[in-house]
Amino acid sequence: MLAYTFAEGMQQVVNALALGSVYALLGLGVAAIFSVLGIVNFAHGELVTVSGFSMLLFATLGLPWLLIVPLAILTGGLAAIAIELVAFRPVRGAPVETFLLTSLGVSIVIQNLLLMFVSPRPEDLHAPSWTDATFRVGGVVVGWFDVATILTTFLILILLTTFFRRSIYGLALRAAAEDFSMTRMVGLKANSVITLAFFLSGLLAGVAAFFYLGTLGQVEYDSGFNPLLKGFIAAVMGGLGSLSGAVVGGYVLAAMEIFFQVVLPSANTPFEAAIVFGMVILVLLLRPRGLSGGLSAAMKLERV
Amino acid sequence: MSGAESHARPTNDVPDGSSAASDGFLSSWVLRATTGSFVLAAILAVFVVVVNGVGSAVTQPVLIIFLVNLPVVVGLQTFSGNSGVISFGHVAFMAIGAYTAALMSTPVLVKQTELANAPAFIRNAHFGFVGSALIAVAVTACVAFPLGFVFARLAHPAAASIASLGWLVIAQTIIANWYSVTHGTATFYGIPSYTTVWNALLCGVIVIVAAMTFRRSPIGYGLRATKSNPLVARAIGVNMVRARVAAWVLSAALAAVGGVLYSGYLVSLAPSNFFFSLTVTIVVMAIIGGPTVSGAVVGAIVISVLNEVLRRVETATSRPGLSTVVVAAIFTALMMTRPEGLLGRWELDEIALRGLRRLILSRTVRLAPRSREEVDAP
Amino acid sequence: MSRSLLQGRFFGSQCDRAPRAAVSAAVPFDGPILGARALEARYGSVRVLHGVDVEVNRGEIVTLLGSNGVGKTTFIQTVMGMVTQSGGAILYEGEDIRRLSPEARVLKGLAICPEGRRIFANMTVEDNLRVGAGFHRQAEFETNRARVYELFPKLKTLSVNAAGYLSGGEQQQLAVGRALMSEPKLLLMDEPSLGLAPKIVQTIFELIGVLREQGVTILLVEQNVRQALRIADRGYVLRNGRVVLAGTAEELAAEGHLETAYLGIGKD
Repeated sequence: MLAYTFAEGMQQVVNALALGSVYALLGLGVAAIFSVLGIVNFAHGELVTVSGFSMLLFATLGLPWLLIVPLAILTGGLAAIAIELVAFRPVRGAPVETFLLTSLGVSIVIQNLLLMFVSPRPEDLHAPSWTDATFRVGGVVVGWFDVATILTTFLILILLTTFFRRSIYGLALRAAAEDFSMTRMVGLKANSVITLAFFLSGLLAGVAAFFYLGTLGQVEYDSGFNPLLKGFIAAVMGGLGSLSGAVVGGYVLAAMEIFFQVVLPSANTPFEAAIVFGMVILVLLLRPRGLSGGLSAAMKLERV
Repeated sequence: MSGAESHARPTNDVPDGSSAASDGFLSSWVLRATTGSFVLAAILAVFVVVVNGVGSAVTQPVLIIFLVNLPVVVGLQTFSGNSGVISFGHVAFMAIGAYTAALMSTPVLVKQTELANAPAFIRNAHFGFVGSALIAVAVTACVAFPLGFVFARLAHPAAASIASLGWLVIAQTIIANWYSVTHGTATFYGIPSYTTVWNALLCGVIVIVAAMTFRRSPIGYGLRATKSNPLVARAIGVNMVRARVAAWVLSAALAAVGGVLYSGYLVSLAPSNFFFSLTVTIVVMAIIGGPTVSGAVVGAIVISVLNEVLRRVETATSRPGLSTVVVAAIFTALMMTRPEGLLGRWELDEIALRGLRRLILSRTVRLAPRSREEVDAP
Repeated sequence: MSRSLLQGRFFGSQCDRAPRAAVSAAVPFDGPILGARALEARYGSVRVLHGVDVEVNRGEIVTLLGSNGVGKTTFIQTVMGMVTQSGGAILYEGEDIRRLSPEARVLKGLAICPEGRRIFANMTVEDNLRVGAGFHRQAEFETNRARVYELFPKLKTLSVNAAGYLSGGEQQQLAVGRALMSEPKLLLMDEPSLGLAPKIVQTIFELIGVLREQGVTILLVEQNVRQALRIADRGYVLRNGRVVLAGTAEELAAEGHLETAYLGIGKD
């Protein structure tokens, strides 16, 4: 490990930043729903899968990539709203644990519907050719795709921050996260707020889908499982209710993964996943409120 | 309404020990645990005997698989039903139990070749069914114990559930990579076929007794109190950490029993068997019946039957994934309409008693209204 | 707190403003702005209100009195639509609003300063006001905010501070300001003086008077009987989920009546 040169080290930093960006996006999607509704959406991974398949669909339709990506992102958002209408709205008053289970059920239903009606095998997802291009910066080989990932995420974070600070819709989400029933009593429609939260999480999943599946190169019916896990971990490490925490959690998770990948002797590389999880549990133990200390939504008694 | 519920309690979150005070002759928890276990075990035994007798060579495997899964389902219920935290990690304990039992019971000769690099004490060990089972359960409990403290301490149930998913992945990774002991991702073969309907049924009965005893013991009640209202529970002296750890370790041990049966039935193991899809099956079985031991048993029966029927349809119509979709859809719909599960909060013997009591009371006693409000109420 | 006379009325009375499309009818309703008839409400299976009759006329301050737990807050919450109405009727400007969601009621002109103030602590004062304007009053945000700041100059100096750091009295001002941002016709105030120092309590009641001058109709739930009756026009006393005494403020303030009603001596 110590034989790493500066260039190789920088390489890993770029890797970690790109990976962290994807995880941050996934974590944000999970945290957005949790902060407003106090529920964990098990079907979030399926939003990534659906987005991915829609990219395939639009590609076969011959649309240019400039159009495919925004459409796929939008599909993610719409899919999230569909899930909300079908699986969440009818059971509004239910306790939090129930939503964990209903979203699990929905997740499996969607996965198997995709298996049955779309494709049982992994399908190749050919990202546009420029994503393979690289360039050199002082001995370090950097992929354009990684740069795109990092910059896009950065941009999204700025957009989100502005949205939450300034827009009445963002303010409504923040208010709902803090005190849902009071939010209703100032005239902000509960339905609108919840749908908005889901839409947002779906959009985020769509963006993550492009970068994640684009790197992976393929999509299949259960492609969502891994992103779901990463999103969960990022959000939980960041404190579940906190959006900024989810972002931090995502980057920290990626850093840990890359670090252990680099540090561990190659024979033990498969254990890296276990070690990362172990570290996550350790973090949770030491700081049960997550890295940023914000479990505000979780401590609330009033929900939905 | 009957005696104990005469003082109006507006919420549903009363720990269901309320009936304990009113039943004169059942006031001792040991007695209630015994009665409950007996009733449920008897039902299970009857069910198994009937299906075994009536069934054919086709239904036999289904029955045994049901009996293999049952301890895991009951184990999961013991933790999740009492603590309110849904665990996705119990299949990991099943795996540990399965592999340990396999290691202990596989003939030495086989292990010399298959696990050439394993430590000597493993290669040379050879125990029968009972010995292997006991060792497997003990090992699993020991692994579960430190983990229990981790999960007992996590602040929020959702975080704990996600962490349990992490535990599943950790266990999976370790098993899949510890080649010298587990044969890695390659199939572990050569396990003696020791599982029969009868010793599986016996295990089922033992597991039911253990789970019911825990549930109706003071610790079990205390744990359920933390489900409703952790603060109040603490105020009345319930040590939530201790209760949770106890439930966690017991549930792991029960899951290990299932693993032992699994080894002896499938006679070969692979880590991929013990991952997410089995977890989902077990979770669905445990939840769909309700948070009680009876619920776990009923849920396991219902889902096993449903799965089997649907699998026939699936192969007949050649549509892979159909059975899963239907079961998942039914599960989701049920959670949306009746989150307390098929049986609700009460064990079968309690349901029977209530029904009986209500029947008797409605014939003999006319209840006087207590206040004008009650008369006015619809 | 400023008592400067503001140009014309703007809060509450829609009379001298261009009518908003969905809200005002051609002929403004001239009956009581709020009428609760035999109102019943329950939490789950426990009934809390057993038939409450309350009326609030436009421009009045009506106060609801009673000791703890009689159902005053439940009444307010039922009017807002947050608690299940199990019987009777709530007429707002003559219209039965039972089917309306709380959000829809706010759109109709109801606003609430709930018990405990419940300002959004993690958001700034300014954001709280913006949220108070809901989705439907964003266009008038600047104007209304200016007027709130004129009413509460202290809030203006604190406008970028997180609301959680404000003192009790300031938070109460913010709660009122937030409610006013939606230009309500009827303001429901639930124990605004609760937990505040006597001096601040004084300013709160002065504020209520100012609001009345500006044409805001107020339904005030209070435990501070003396102050409430000083400012109110009429009042009702609740006990065990029922109205046991009703009358003008003067009548209620007369010796003997209130103790009887509160403590139930010799009655019911």
